[in-house]
Amino acid sequence: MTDSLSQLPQVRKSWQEAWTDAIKVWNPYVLLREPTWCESVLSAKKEGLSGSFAMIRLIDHRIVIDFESVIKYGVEEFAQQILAHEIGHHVLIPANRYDNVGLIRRMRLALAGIENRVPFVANLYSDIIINDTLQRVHGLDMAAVYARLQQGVSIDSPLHTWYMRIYEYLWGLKRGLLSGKNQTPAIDADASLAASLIRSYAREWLDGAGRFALLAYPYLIEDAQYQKARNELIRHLDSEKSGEGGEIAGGMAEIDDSIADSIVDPRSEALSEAEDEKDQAKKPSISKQKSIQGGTGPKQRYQQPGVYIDMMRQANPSADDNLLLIRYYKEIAQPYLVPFPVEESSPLAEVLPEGTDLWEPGDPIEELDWFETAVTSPVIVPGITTRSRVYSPDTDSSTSPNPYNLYVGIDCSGSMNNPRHNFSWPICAGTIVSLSALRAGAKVMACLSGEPGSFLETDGFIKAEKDVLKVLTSYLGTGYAYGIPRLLTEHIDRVKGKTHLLIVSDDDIFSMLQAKSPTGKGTNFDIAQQALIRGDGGGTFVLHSRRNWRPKEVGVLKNMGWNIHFVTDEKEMLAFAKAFACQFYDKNRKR
Amino acid sequence: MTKAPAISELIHHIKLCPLEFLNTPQKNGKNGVNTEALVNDIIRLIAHEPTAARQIEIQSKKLSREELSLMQICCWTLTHPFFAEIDHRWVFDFFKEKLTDIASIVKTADWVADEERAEELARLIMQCCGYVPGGETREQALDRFDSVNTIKRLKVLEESKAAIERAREIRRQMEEKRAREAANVYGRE
Repeated sequence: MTDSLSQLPQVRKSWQEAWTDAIKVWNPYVLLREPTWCESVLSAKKEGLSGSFAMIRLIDHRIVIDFESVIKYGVEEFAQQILAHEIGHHVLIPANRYDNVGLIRRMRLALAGIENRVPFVANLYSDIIINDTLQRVHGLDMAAVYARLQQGVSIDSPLHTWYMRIYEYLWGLKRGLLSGKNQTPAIDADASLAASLIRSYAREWLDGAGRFALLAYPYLIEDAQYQKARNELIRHLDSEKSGEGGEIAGGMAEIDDSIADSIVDPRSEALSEAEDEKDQAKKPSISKQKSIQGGTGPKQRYQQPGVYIDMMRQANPSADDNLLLIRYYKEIAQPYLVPFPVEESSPLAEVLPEGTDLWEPGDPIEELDWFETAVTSPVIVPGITTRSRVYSPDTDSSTSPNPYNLYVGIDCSGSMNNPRHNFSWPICAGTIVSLSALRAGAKVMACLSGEPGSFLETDGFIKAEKDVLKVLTSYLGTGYAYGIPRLLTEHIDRVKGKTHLLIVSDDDIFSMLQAKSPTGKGTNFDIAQQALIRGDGGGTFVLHSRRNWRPKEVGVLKNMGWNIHFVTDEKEMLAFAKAFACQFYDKNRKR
Repeated sequence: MTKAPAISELIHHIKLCPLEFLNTPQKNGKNGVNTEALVNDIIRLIAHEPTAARQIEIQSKKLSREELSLMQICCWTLTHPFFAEIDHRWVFDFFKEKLTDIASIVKTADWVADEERAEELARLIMQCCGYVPGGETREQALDRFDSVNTIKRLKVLEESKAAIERAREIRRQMEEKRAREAANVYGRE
């Protein structure tokens, strides 16, 4: 310890000097702040670095170096290589948060069933791509760094042997220099395939990610083997949490068919090529791949919400589950939202004077405003004191449509799916109509209710998208139906303008309607009727039920003025939501 | 003793293979390169016997197009000056016996386009002529040849395939069981 302390100032100085050279290896114009130099493991830990001696954070593009570990591992003389490696994570792989999720997304498909290993494998893959580029293209002696790091290290895990054997193949190193003594013919074959892969996909590294993960798969299946490999390779793990703290990358809820094409095991590829039965014969078809990925939602194009959250949390371990779920349903709803309202201008409108502007020689003489010019200065200097009047058309329209406020009440009783675990059509529909209403300028009040039991609602009618979606994507799982007494809320009376009431439920709503009102007068049917009058914007029940099951009760609701929309398959809610949003909130729609 | 070239030098030489050597071989009466004539010319060249009679018979009818193409690439490889300096008698066995298996499992274009396949060819030739590439020991050369040997690699892959599939299947079943249990829990919510 004393020894390392005495070395610290010298090591720090040499690393600081190496920083500029390390940047130049990639490109002298790379803009990166100087790394955070930590003098102890403890201070490095506070920066988020543990296990390794260097790391990068994509959120603030900051490299962290732990000098205590640098000295402990004996790599203090390799400042340029190590710093260039970390910069490689910034400029080459994963480079940005979007590609980081892309990398994880591909590897998750390859490591089906053992997805928790993905960040680990992604880190190993990133490192090897960067190191080979540095060694081969930029001429840095990365082999020396690895030779030092591997000195005296115990290599019992087959994955560790395989991984280091790849480096030996790539750089033509003597067998065992990095990989120890436990090679087997199978490890050799896999490492040789991996080395070819690294070279082939050095530029399009995202396309090679799935293949690399499939090569690693057999070494990671068993939990004990994975743990052993992880412990042995921990000092190399510098980018596992690089995406931590970042914004949520968009467009990741949808399944990308093109990704499935790159999830091919190089072993099968090699064998099928040899047998001249290339491509289709051994590769699962796209439809099969889709089933592997478990497509759900509209057109079965989306991942399950649980899978999505899990994936996004691997990219950013500190991401908020609720925000991820909101993002998930929002992404799915996006294509079905009404277009942004556009202002219609009337070309025949009156023009009104609106201030003055400089009149310059060359401008039409009739535009010169002599009065304003004289006011500006009694001495007339063209282009300096001359003014012209500016007119603008008066487009004020007497018929500006006011969108109805929207009350969305969704049944969240025990019969409903938890939208966090499985894709929920009612929540998707609720998201579409709510976001469309907000886009059109309306206010929305969302209420989840599973009663008798519990309910959750927004604080009145609001315009905050996040708060509305936070309520919609929550889950109660109590009671048997949407609680009609929720419509007693006084927010309906308080909000300015008319309100349309939209209730999504199923058959059980009729039992709820027939129940005694909590006010002590009449039944919940009366509450529904009163709410309709108070809202003054109509109301719609969307019921997962059949038209002919409860004709009498349906008749009562219709007489009150409620619209009833039946769906026999929850998927039909999407079409309903689209039509509803279009009818009430598409201002651009030709009527 | 003649000094053998480094493997990188041979790889570089292979990658410079002119288009004429890569043209389709003559087979079944169709126009193309007369592989037999080419091979015999190369043998005359490295044997320093320009007027010798036919040295080796190549029955193009019986051989695959891939094997004939590989022979043509080998002919180009043998134009490296090193092969003219050593005893040439090894080439008879080489052309007759060593190319059939490997030609059937590697795409012809890969021999010159793919770095690793070019290395495999270079090492195969060096092994057949009995020399160790410059700068390597015999053990290193053997180990390195093993690492790029397609036949050996496929054999290992074929052997390990079943084991990997079995492990994957066990894992899949475990995951399905876990998912079913989780679904039951959610269902009760």
